[in-house]
Amino acid sequence: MKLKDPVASLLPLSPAVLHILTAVAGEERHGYAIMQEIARQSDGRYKLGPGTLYDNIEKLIDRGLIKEVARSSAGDDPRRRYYQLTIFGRRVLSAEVARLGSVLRAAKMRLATNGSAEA
Amino acid sequence: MSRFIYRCLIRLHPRDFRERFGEQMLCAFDEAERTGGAAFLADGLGSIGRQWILRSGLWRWAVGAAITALILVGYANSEAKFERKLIISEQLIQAKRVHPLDKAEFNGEAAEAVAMLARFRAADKKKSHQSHSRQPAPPEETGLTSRR
Repeated sequence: MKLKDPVASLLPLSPAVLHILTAVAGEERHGYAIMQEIARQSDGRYKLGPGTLYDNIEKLIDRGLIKEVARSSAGDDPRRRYYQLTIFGRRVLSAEVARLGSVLRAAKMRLATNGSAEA
Repeated sequence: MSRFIYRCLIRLHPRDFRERFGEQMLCAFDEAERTGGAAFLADGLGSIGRQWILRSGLWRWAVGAAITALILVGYANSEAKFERKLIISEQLIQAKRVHPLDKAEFNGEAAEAVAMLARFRAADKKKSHQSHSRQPAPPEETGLTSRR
């Protein structure tokens, strides 16, 4: 029996998950910082509320894509928790980026073909 | 006020989730309240739905309940249709009882119609008879015409 690829089984990612993974890919961030980073990434077009954010964070921790890391700096709110991408999470994000890249290439090619046919 | 409502929304989440992320959610809400507001309350409500229905496996019960409700509604609808049919047929029966067919009246009207038809027929006959008498008699055949 062929085992299912754990990375492929998680694709495609939902927009919320893709944004969260991208937000924590560079550095560990707390909830509000993730929300701000997502708004910045999408030029304010995609805004995540705390409910959706932590709902997805729970799912991502349980699937091993992100993990909580201990970090606190002076003046930080003690309620804050920081999250970081795991190695498995990085593999999933890379696979999703590659998938989206191929979709983009195909879309660009089709558009170019249609554009030349119309001209 | 909105913070109080948001706290209540957090309390409505499943216990495990609330204990794990409740404080963090409130922290993010406090930090983002100026930009979020009402949108965060709607988001909180959506989160409650997802947590209770999708994550807890309650969705199976919800689907079962929805299917049962659909079946019950369908059954009730068919019953109502049957009852409506019964009412209509009962109304028809009652209407027949209230306005029974008056035989004497019917016979009178029928006789009148027959008499009228007879009058028309007689007038027709008279007309056709008059037109026949006015028509010139056809020329009698002579030996000359017949030879031609």
